[in-house]
Amino acid sequence: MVTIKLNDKDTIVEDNLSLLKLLEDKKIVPETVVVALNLNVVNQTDLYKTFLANGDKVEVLRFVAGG
Amino acid sequence: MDNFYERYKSHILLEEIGIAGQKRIKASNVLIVGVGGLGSPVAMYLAAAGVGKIGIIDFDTVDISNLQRQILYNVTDVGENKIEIAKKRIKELNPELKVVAYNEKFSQLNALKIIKKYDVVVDASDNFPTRYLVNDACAFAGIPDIWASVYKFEGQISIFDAKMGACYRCFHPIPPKIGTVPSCGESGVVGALTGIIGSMQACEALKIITGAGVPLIGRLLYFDVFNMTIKEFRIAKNKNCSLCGEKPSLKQLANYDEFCHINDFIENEITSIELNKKIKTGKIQIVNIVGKAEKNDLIFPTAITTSVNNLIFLKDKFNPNLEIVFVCKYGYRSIYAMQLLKESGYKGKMYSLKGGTRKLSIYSF
Repeated sequence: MVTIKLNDKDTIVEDNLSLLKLLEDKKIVPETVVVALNLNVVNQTDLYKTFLANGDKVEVLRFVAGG
Repeated sequence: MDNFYERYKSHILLEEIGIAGQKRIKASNVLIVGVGGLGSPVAMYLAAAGVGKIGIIDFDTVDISNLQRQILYNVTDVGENKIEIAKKRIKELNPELKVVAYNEKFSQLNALKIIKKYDVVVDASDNFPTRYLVNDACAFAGIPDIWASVYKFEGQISIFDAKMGACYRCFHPIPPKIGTVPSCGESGVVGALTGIIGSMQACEALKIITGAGVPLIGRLLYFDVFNMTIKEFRIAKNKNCSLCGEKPSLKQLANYDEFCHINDFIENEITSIELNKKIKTGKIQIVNIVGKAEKNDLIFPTAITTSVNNLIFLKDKFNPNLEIVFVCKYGYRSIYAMQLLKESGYKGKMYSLKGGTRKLSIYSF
């Protein structure tokens, strides 16, 4: 298990968890969010191959179009 | 030119702008896509700043609910074309400017032709197809797209400049399905937040025009006015980007409604007149698709009312011998509802009220 910060909250997740799997576990549709890992926005098509390590900071922002 | 120095004294005093910078502002051309919550402060500040030519494009009319945030409009403007009122306001604020008002939908048919006449584009639109279109057209034309969007208490802003950094597609090539992300009118938004974020877009436009400061290229600012915190993220240029990467596959503008799946259920969309006819047959069941905030102003208060998320749990309550007509405020989430119910294996006939109930009242039926 590793501890990450998910939207500023300490969260324990399983080892070798990809960002895509993290979203799936949280029932978040990947197209509806922007995910940043350690303050870098992760390309939507790289979510499946980006894995979490201890101490990572993950931010999940809504992908919105309102104006 | 008579009162140039007086009028723009506070810009001219700034070492980084000065007379040369203010002249650049006067010589510049900026297009604002959408004159709503974000577009209003953008237009006002760019006009006040003395941008020589301001293009505005929108095809909506002023609704009373717009006045909570769209500061270009007054009570007396309700029902009028936004573009005409916006043009009038800009001219009142700064009569020397040239204002080009496009009372039409920004689409793949007119986008490049319009955009090529401008140095900078401010994306103040309110939907995904337009946002992908603005990004793509700006990349093809080689001009920066000053992008921002708002939702509830949150605002996001960045500059997509394919020549200098990432574009919108670099990090988000796959759009969300229609209805999965609500609009401001559906989810609510703090009016003053659109003022903050729109003013920042105007500020970035002026920086790009004058060359002053560090523009927001390759960076995404995230504002949370609920907790009043700001975060900054980096967006890297994606060498595999289909638009601005090393081997781009996109060579021309696409059909953005199709790209965002808007046309997938086009045959299942019905007008309010068609809905009226269906109501008279007595063989339909109406389902309100609502967000948290809008339960009090339903046109069909006695109909089944649910959020899209809970729809699946109601599946067995529907009578497959009756046609379902989904209605929501804007006509997007009702399409998504059809999509979800169809994917869940529901076999009955389904329709969505085109354009939603926004411009209708209980007396329409």
